[in-house]
Amino acid sequence: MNAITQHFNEAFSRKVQDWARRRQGTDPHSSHLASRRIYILPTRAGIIYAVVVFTMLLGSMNYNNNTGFALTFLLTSIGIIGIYNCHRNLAGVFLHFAGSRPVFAGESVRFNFIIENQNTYARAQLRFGLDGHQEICDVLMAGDRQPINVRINSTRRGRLNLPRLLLSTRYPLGLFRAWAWINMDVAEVVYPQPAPNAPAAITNHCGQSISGQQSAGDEDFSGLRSYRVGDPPKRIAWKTLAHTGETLVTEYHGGASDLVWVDWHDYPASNPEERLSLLTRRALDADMTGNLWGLRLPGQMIGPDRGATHRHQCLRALALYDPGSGHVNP
Amino acid sequence: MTGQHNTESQSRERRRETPDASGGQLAWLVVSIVLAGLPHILHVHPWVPITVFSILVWRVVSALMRWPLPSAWIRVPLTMLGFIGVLFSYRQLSGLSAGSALLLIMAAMKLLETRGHRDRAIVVFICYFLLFSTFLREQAIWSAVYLVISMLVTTAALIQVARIGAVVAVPQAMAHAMRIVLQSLPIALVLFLLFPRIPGPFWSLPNVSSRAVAGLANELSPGDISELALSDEVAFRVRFDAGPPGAAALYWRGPVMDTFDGRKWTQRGTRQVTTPDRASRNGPAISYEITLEPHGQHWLLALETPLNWDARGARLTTAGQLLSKVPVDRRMSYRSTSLLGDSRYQGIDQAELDRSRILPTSNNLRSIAFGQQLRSEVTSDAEYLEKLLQYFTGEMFYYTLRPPSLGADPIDEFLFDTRRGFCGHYASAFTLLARAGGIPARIVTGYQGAELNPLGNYWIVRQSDAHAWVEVWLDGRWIHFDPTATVAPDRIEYGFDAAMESRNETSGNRLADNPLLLRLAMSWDALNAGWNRWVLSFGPETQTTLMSLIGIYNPTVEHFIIAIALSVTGLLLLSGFIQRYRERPRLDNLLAAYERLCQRTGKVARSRQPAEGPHEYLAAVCVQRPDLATELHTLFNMYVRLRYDGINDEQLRQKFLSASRNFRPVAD
Repeated sequence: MNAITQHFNEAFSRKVQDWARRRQGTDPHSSHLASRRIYILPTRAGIIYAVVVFTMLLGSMNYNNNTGFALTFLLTSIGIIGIYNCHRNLAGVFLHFAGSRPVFAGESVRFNFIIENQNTYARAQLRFGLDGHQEICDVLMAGDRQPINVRINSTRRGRLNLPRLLLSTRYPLGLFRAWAWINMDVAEVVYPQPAPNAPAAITNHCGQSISGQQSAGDEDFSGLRSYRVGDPPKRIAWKTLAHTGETLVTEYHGGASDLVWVDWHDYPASNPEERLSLLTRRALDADMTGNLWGLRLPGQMIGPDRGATHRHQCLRALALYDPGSGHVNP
Repeated sequence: MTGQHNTESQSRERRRETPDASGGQLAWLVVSIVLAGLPHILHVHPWVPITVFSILVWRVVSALMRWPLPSAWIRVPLTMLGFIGVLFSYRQLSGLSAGSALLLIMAAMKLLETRGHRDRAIVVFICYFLLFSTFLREQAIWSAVYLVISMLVTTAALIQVARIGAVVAVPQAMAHAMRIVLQSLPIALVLFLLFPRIPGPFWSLPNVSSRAVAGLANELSPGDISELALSDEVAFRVRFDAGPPGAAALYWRGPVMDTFDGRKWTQRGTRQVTTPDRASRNGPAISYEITLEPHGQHWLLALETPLNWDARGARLTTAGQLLSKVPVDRRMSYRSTSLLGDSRYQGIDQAELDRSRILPTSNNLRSIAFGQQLRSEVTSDAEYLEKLLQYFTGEMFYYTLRPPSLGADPIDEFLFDTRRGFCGHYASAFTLLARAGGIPARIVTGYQGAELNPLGNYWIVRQSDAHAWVEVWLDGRWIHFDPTATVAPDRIEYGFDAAMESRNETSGNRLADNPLLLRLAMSWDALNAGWNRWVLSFGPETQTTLMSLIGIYNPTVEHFIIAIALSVTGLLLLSGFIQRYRERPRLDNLLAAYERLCQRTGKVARSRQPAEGPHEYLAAVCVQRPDLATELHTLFNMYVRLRYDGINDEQLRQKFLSASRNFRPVAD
């Protein structure tokens, strides 16, 4: 019996969601939650309140008690005004998407938002987040804007689409709940989870020594040069920086011999996901050295290059690689 | 790859969404329960408030000491115990006292499991219901004031327990509740005024009040009314349209007794409806409005003899008595017009006349014989009645509130032995003697006199003004006789107090001696009278008057529903407009000045495109109107510096505002 009700509830709420989605479409990254976007229904407490007030009405009628009528109608009116106050607390809010950062599988993605109140009255107790859990924004003064974010745990590599968000409020009485569904077309890349460590390469396609962490070049100090964007922090000469205030970076001998290729074919035995995980570890290690490095996947080659952008490009390719087709998903 | 948040984190997060009541929320709930429960303390069994108080203390201490809340294994048996306790103490679960005891226990028990918002809200709802049930018990002004304050606190509690996180400061919370209640007042008022009051209970009323309602009785056996004479309780208040009639005309007609079993008088007359015969009027007509206190019976009071009245469904019986359709269980107001003096009613019921001649057959025989003897000595009925009055004046009859108790032949004993009594005795004896002489006669009970409240310009009639007099059938009409007046005429002329004083008997606790106290008492009564008239006795009659103001003379339920719908919609729209106006987006005056500047420039040159910034627009306009270039440059540069360079220079701001205001370029 319970299962049937649950099934029915799920089917019903899916229908409602589809309807709302069709009705309002996809929201822009800066959304104005106009009145027509706000839904409002009584909470369970609100329904109980209605029953209590109705009982009072019957009592007042039966006893013909005017003070009872007065209290009943005052409570009725408080309920009616409560709908208005609750709706007003939400309607007209602006919600701006303010970016997110890629993470490794298993970490949680944080989608940043800014919630803005352009009206001349303060708002309170706004809840924002996913269907199951919402962060609370206690007070949003007139004309104020506040950062608020949504965290979603990632379990797998790939693209994580921002699910439908919910901005709701029960303020002030808790008898009604006004809410708006927000469907923004936002996604973030989830990199593969890096393996704890990656064994050295088994084959060498280019006839060069492929090395992991034990790159000879690292040991061979050649001098200092000025900082360039993308140099790893590990290589910054902190002591010199402290003494002179000049940001210098240590350079090592290496050149072509230090060039590292992180290659799909390095780990033929493993299954695709493990392979990607190992490659991610290798890519991270290669990035740490500050040397030039590149990524080879079937049908795709990135680099050699270095720096944060390159790192992201490679990790993104690993995240979105589809071993079935041998191609990176667009 | 959506929906990656797993169920475990979801359930954890849901728990966080509805946390246990914070300390502040608990405090609000406890205060609400205490305020709502206080008026009930004296009306429930003493173990109930003690139990409730203990639970509250337990809950507060466990919150302070961070003890866990009791599990269901403790709560459920405890709640059962509470229910069984109420059932044992009251033998029922309904009824006002049992109900409030149950509500109090439920509120306290619910406090032990306030896990989520709904649990906390239910405690608040129970408090509302406790406040409501207080109104069923007590409707005086002072209790209304107390309940309004409690209701504000309870509403503040409702707002606070709905919060996630800490509660706000107490003054702020109270101000918020006050604001919401004030916002709600207009709609509440509309509903109060227009919600159709359907007279009559839907189900049998449990005895609301344990104390017996003092007032006139359905029967009269001399000795009963002495209780009433000492009661200062208000019977009704009356407001005369013009001046009041003389004190001697103030006979407020109530139950009419026409059946006598030798010991007590009862009203068993047919309830046939009649209308007074207008042609028989022999006195002036007088209009007035009565606010009647509830007495649980059908009769309505009116001056002799009512001609018309607006009490719904009320009718006039052949006994000349105004009867309400339903028992008067609440205060009610009605207007009436009476013809002063003796009246004839249309459609005389012969059976009623016959009944008014019946004499007891087995007792009071001495009185009957005495009457028959006296009648045979005179030639006419009128003469006989005159003789009877003379008898009461001539013999040594005394008016007293403490008459000796009478035996099996009460009227015999009163007439020939004790000769002490009050209105009931005199009216009984006079009626019996009249009947003995063959004249139909009956007793009319009601009130006599009234006391002016100069502050409210209305008259108060108290239970101590209760009176009984006689009507006899003479020359085809009922003639009014008051034998008591013959014995104690000053009572009739100057009121009860004066009569008591002259006989050296105290009447109780009237405040007439102290002018300040009297004034205070009168002010208080005036306040109560207003409260009764406008709030408590508001009913179908007042509503009909109200609807007639907008031109609906015979309103039906549909009329009221339409009126409510229209008024509420109108109020909501109005408040929506006001809110929208007050909260309209206002440009800051810098931007407003800039917009105006561009508008004026646009009239003499091309207008600014929506996407154009100040620099681009300035350049474009300067090409078009080189003559304005210098002036425009100054103005636009000021704006750019203020708006975009982050210069917060009040002087520059003022300069820009006034310069842009004075900028009035002329067209080519």
